[in-house]
Amino acid sequence: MTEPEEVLRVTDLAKHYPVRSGPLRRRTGSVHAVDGVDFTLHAGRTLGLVGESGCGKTTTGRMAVRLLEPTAGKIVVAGRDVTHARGAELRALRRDLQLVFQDPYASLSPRMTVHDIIAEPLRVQGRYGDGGPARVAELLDMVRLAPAHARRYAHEFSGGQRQRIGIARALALGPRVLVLDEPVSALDVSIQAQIVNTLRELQRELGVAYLFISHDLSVVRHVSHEIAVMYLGTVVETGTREEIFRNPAHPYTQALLSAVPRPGPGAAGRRERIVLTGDVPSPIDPPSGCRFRTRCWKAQDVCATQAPPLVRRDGIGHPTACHFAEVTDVLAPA
Amino acid sequence: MKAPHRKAAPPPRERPGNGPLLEIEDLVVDFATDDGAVRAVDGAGYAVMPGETLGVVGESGSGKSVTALSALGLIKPPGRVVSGRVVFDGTDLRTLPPRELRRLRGGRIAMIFQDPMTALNPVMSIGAQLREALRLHRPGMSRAAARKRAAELLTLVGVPGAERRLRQYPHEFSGGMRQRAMIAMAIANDPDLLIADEPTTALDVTVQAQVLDLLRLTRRETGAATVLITHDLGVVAELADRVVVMYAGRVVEHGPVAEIFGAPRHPYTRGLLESLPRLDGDADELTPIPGTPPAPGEAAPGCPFAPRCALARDRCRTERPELAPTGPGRASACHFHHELAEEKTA
Repeated sequence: MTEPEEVLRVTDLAKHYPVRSGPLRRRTGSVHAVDGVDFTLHAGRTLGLVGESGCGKTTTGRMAVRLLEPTAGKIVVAGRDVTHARGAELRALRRDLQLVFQDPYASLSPRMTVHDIIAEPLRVQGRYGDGGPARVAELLDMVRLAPAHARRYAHEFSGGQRQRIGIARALALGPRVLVLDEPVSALDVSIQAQIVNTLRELQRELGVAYLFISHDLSVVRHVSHEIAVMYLGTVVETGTREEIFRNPAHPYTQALLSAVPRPGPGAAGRRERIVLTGDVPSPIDPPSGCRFRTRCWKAQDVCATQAPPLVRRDGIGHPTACHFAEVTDVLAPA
Repeated sequence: MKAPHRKAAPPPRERPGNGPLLEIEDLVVDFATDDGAVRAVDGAGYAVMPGETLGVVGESGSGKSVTALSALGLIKPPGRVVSGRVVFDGTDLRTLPPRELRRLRGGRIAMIFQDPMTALNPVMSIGAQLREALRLHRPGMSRAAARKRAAELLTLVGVPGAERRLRQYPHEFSGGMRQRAMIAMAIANDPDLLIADEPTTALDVTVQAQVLDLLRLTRRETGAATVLITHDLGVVAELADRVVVMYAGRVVEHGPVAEIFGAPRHPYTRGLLESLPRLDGDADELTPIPGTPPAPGEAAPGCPFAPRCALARDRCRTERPELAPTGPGRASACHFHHELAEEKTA
């Protein structure tokens, strides 16, 4: 099997926000929202970006689609450096990169019919005149909505159906990359499963690459081929789905996996659970060295002085950013 | 930390007659809208035994929160309790004067909500709020004793540096710490019953794990019965002894957690478990429940789940199934629950 085509590569991506204080609003520091993130997306594949609130996953996604200007780093789409694309070049880029938002209640205009919502990107790009209505009908069918839905307004739909409308709009221009930011987090589980399955089918049909951003490890497992785990603005571990779920080697990944309550009969109580102490530190003043060390049970002196790079380490098949990385299957019954 | 909570549960408190601590029967709650009354709870009920943890699960709009809130007289217009019976430790709460009901709440019955910011007063220090909660229900308690107890409570729920933290305001606490402060307030008066409505939903998973451990600890310390309302089946599996599954304002199945999750006898419960993404096992296609739940007020004469149910047939669309026993201590509201027993899911 040939390696699927590379469609998006980000290198050393960073976003710092200035912190100003005092009467003159002088810059006194910066929030390191994202600090040196690398990843590659391939056609027809999904990279799951997981982490807790404030880890920088949403900021990373917005930079990847050029909705947010990176402070540093490089974004390459299909071999072209688009980090600083402007004007017409940026508009052209919108055909390749699209974003689906978390909240299907806030991201769709209540004044527009479903047809107009889905047609909007086509109109903006001047492509509606050329078979626009047929394209909208095709998109509705792709996301399993009925043709009659086109004339209705978004508020007439349930949360799951609204998310379908949002996905149809994002697919209108035939993008190579879809960044999905918590696309099913606002939905009930029975509906969430419908959307997850539709996303998987669409990817098989269209070969689009997904960057799937979520705090929910179980959902990420069901949609992702590869996974990157973020903590406080950096990627701490990355690998295939199997590697991350069966052989997690970074203490944070292990804690995250073991913290998820599981509904399997008798699953509770038999498991050793890793419970981290404390909260995530402030990104204004992140800990020196390894950013996870303040909550890590393995931390040693070296962790405070040397930031561990995200590299392949002895005996571990995938990259981890931990001086003391060690594979442990935390999901196996004890 | 291991969680052998079923064995570690304290002996139920002594009470006459070994009956349930809280019993809700046939509760009906309507919400007035421009288009007429919409039924949010449609004859729901459950019993909570002393000292036990009862999980109440269901998706948005299932009536799981409204049932508990209206049982405690906490539902405000346009919501209205139409009928039903609510008995707490022998007292009928629906006929209790509002004053007495208020005394019960925050005293023998305490509550924990999803968003601590709505339950905490933003302009009062955490310490002042804790002391107020304590002295409101114990008029004889001295200021000094209340201060000491407040510090003890904050320490118990795992807030480090309690003395300093008591002087701080809710906005100075992180989300997880606020949830701890609210739990401290809830257990301040050693309640017999704790109603926890989505207590960990707003929290990150590593903080959720801390709060779940804390809820186990407070149960051990207080011996209080807990009604745990959540959409998260994993949280129920970890914490609850029994579970009540709600759909469209009704209870569709209830029983011991391990049995219900291991061998559901209602198609909705089974569908919910199958549609859940998992951390282990098969990672491929999920099995969603087709369709969507009925909009509130969209009442059909038969089973509310029939339009989404693979087992549904004519009888389901005309005759409303009542809860019927499916084994010791469990029941299902499905005409054809025995067919699920025969299928035996793996």
